[in-house]
Amino acid sequence: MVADTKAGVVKGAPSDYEFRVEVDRSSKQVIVLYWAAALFWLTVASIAGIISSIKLHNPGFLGGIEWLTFGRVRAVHWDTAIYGFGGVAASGTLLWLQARLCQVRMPYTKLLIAGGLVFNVGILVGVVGILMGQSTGVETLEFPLYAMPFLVVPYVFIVIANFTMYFKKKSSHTYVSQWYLMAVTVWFPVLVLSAEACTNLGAVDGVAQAIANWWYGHNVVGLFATPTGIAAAYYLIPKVIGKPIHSYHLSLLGFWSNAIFYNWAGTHHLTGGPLPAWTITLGVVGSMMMFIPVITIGINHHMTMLGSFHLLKTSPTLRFAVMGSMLYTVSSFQGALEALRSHQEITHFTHYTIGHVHLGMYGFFAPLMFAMMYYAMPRLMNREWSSARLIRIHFWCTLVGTLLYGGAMCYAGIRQGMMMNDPSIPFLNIVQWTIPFLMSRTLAGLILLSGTVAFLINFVRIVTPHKLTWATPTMLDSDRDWKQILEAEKEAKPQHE
Amino acid sequence: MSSIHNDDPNPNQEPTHEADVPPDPIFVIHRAAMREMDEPRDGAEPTPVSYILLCFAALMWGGWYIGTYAGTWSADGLAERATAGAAITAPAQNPMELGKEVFGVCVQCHQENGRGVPENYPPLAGSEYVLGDKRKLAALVLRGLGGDVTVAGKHFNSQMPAWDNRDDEEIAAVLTYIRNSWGNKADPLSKEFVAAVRKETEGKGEWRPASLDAFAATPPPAAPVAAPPTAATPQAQTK
Repeated sequence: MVADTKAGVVKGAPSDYEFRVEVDRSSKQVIVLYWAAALFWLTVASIAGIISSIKLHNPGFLGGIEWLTFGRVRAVHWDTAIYGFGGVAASGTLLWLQARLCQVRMPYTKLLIAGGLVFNVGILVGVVGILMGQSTGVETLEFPLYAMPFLVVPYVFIVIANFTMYFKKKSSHTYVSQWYLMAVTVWFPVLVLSAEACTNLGAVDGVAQAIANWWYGHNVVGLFATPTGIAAAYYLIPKVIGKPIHSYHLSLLGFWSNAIFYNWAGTHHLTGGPLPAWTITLGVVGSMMMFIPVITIGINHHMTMLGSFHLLKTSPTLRFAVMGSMLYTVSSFQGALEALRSHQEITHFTHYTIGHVHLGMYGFFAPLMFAMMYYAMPRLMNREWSSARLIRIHFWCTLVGTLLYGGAMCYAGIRQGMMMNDPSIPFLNIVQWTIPFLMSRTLAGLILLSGTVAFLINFVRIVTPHKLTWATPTMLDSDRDWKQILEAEKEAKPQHE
Repeated sequence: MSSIHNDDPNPNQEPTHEADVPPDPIFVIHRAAMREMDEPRDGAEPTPVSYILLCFAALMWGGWYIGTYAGTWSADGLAERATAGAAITAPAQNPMELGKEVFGVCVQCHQENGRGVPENYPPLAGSEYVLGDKRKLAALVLRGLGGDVTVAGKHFNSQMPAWDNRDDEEIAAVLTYIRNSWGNKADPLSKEFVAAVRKETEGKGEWRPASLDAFAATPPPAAPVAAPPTAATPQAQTK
């Protein structure tokens, strides 16, 4: 590298900053495009989620609009959340982390940009298809089949770029984040293609179709979103606090136990269904065995953080990363126990499951994606976040919204399940009992959406050129605000123009 | 410039305007990349032995759970605790419930309240055919009846089809049901009894009132199929 000649120019700069600058400059357009699109879809998903939530306590809400009936809006909510936000944000994260950890420039940037655009068009096509009533009716694979090529082809580009970077890597070591990222690019295409084949393309019938559906539905969270989130946590926590990850051996155990057990867990969604008992039993055991990777990864992250918790006061990246990491442990414990038959007797087919999904997706996965963006965007754009207050609002909305959502839904789910097990209580009374909780879910959704809007404002500002630059990062306790930029631009005009 | 190394907060460092930034252009362009910590590394703390043992304990629990709840490992083994030899059978159903279900077919003529339709279809409530000889009743339902009959003092002349397409359990249940509804009270029929009557009347066409009476007058065969002296069968043989 050219580092040798330039490194001496700035005193005190780390010697390896040159490659980072190169990586960031080469990946800027791709990553910013992916993340901006991800935030757009997160907003769409939140709005669709809130509409479906309102419909549950006010069934007449938007009742006259055929395109916005519950069955369609809910499918749009989940599919934009998992593919639009999850898929696109995770792909951006994957590409940036891999480029940084391999210390290579982003390859095929034009192809990846084109792919990103096509992917987003695909999601748009799928969403419009669902709203028009052409959903396939298979959960998590609701997008009509004509949307699939738009989603599959760009993902092939991402897989190719990922492997190209890995095989050209300049670093001698393969860091733990890279294991997860490489694994995701192998697992996800296999998952999608085999699940599509077994459900919408009809390779199997009946019960086997349901098994394939839930095998996929569970794995898209566990073998796509989760590994990307863990990879982000493994990168960001040591990166921000400047200490090595606690234990390589624990990383190894965590990765392989996750890889081995997660794949089995999906059938626990079908407990009580007409499946052969052993398939559900294997699903239950696979879920319970997830305690091993979850505790292992939890220990690894916690021990790395030990002694650095005071940094949570000021570092936005670290705060989101630690929130995600901690709620990973919480929601995974919950998920493992939830698979047990004795537990499902109460919570199956109740709001509990919905609470759990949101604790996982919005408590673990989303904060880690936000942390990635908070860390990488100033590097990609060479600009600092313009408002510390908006970061604080984003964080507290995310945390409070998620905990309110998860808490209300899980509590309501347990009580609902216990009442439904009592045949003397009429079903409608139970529905009525849950209404206050359904309303608090709408409130939680609005809180989460407010956080997203705060982040969006900050995001738009960081990608928009402006005059004021700061030498230091925007920390959570700073009073840095957009107004300062406007004032500085006024002052700066005569000098610079 | 030591404070620019990382995202560690420096409370003394106020936001600076462009003019305060050191003029070095490389610094201006690469600020964020330079203040970073090094790329993350792996530590080498060993995994505690106690933790590895805990993982093994978890795996052993998994083995126990699979062994206990995997059912028969077959495609149709739906019960998680089914042992290898036990065939899966539906639990015995209350004959009154099953009978009511089957009666859904009879309702069309004999009506929900069992009173039939005057002039057309005879009643079941208080009917001497229903409350009388069980063997005669089973034979009637299995093979059908046509012609002029008197039920509860009224004449009827219509056709009752044969219900031999229903299995013994259903016939026994529906007869038990009509014998114990709408104020009727009579002893139940077992499916073995129905099976015996079915065998006895095999090949017989639809009854006329006279041929049915003649059949009822003949004694049942000496050795019925269901011989074991349970609570139900001795009664069945006495009539």
